[in-house]
Amino acid sequence: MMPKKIALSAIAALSLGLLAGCGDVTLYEPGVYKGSGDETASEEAAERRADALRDRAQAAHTDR
Amino acid sequence: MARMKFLCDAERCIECQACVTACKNEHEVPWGVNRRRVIVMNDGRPGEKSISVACMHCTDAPCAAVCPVDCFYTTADGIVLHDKDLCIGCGYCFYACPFGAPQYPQQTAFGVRGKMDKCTFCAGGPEPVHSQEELTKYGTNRVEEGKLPLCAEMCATKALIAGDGNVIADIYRKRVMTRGGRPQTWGWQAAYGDDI
Amino acid sequence: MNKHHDAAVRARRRWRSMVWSMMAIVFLAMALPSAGYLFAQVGEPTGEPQRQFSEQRETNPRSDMWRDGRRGEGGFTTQTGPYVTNQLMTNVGENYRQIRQGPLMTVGGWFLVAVFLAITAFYLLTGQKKIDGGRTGRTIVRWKAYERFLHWFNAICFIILAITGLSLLFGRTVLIPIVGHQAFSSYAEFAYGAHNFVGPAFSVGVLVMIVLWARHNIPKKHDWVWFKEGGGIIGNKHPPAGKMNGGEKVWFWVGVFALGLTVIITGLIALFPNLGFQTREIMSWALIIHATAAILWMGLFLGHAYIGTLGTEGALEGMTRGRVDVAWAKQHHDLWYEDVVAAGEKPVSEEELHGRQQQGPAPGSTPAGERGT
Repeated sequence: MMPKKIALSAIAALSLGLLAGCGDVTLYEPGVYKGSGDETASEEAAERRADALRDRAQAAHTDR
Repeated sequence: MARMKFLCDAERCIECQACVTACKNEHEVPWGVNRRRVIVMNDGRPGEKSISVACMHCTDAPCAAVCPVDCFYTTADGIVLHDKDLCIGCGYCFYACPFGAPQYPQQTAFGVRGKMDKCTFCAGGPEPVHSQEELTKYGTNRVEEGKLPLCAEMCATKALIAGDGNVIADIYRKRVMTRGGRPQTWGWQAAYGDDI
Repeated sequence: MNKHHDAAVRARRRWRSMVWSMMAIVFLAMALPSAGYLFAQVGEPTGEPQRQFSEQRETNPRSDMWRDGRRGEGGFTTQTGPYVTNQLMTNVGENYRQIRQGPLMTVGGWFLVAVFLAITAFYLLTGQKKIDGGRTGRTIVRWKAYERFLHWFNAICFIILAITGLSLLFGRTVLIPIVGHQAFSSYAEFAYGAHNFVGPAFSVGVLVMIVLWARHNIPKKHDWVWFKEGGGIIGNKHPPAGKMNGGEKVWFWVGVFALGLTVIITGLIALFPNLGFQTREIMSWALIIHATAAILWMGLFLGHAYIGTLGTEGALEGMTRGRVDVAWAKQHHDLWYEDVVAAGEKPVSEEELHGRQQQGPAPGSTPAGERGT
């Protein structure tokens, strides 16, 4: 009985490890993207470039 | 907050394919992958119209909804980007997209497609800005330089316009008011919803 | 007598008035709405031509074009590539998304959970079905080696495909919260590849199984009795069964045959986009049908796996060692047992079997006494 239990727990641990990609576990929160980060996706980045892009649109797309 | 949008003015588009060429050249897009394409309706018949179509950067993007690995994200100014390191090339986004925007480098047996590639609104990807990785995986990042997508910026007839949705809607409205006729904001309802 | 006569007359009159009023209702229901035509005829203005709405619409080809484009009408494009479409827009994807993210994931997911819970509850309530009167110690051959190989080949493929397939469908909801994006993505890439390469092997296995085992699964009259008695699953009845009982035949025809072929065909459509006939519409429907059929199959599979292992004492060894106890055979497959014995097969005791194997070239099989399930 005992070896069976040990084998089962070993399999459970192994499959958990496999599922977790052998470590480096990221916990998920709904609505929060946790892939490799992109600092250009942030509010600040969008804010920072908004004016330049607006001017650019006015300059590039209006008829001269 | 600006909300980035594409708009193609069908009354101005002359099917010159410059947007397609510009995109291919700017981002070194490989053969068979077409981030942008021009579609001609009623080709060769009276009333022929053409539209330049690429990823419309939807508000509620279907590609992001069906992705099994959740590799899509939307920037604060509404650009839909994806992470090629997460993509497994399953093709679901291609079937979900109304505009046929997602592309893959391969189409071979056993469902091998390679990493999905699509229009980034010239905003690169999750790699460090202007890094070699970003360049090879996603193409150049013009938005971070304060520039708009090259396809739109170099459109000779200014048919394809891109940028802050309010600004380009304003430009388009002035055009329609001047020339008359009905506005045709092609694809906007599907991409950005009814409340635009 | 007179009274009776009166009653009969009254009944006849009532009947006649009923028929006439019914006919009047039917006639008026048809005639009154049609009276509108009469008014229209009378009130029609003369001289002025009537407006023809359909013709007016025909005079605006531009709006027709945009409407067609919105519906997915193709245009012309110079770009070439395997994923280039000539449609401006299509609704196919929206349907695909709604079905996949809606009923397929919610109903399908909870269906599997419900089946699993039902089986667990059933096991806790009734426990294992024991062999009546215990084992006799004498066994007969039930499945030959090649049949067992085929069964376990398909079983292992099925489990791999089920786990990888469910990972692709539910992984984002279930696994990403636990392991995060990067870990899940690397697992999903492996799962996607495994699913795509194990799938064709499994297809071949299922087709061979259908061909080889169809003859065991031809429905017979006694199967009807088996179903009427509920397969003897609850209680102590022993409905008649040949080599395969009624439940196994359902598993074969509904599961392996119908759902199996559905999954194989849709799977092959999804797996070989290079064949070139797959439009986005065909592809998304193939994926939806594939997942739906597979989930139903998994539900049946859970039942099959339970009955074959935990649910019935002495059933699993028929597929592992290939031999079953005589008592088990008499209890669960009485007609088959009679046939086998009539055909000249003799039940063999463990010692005898062991002795035979000792002489044989390949010893080393465990005696059945140690293999109590």
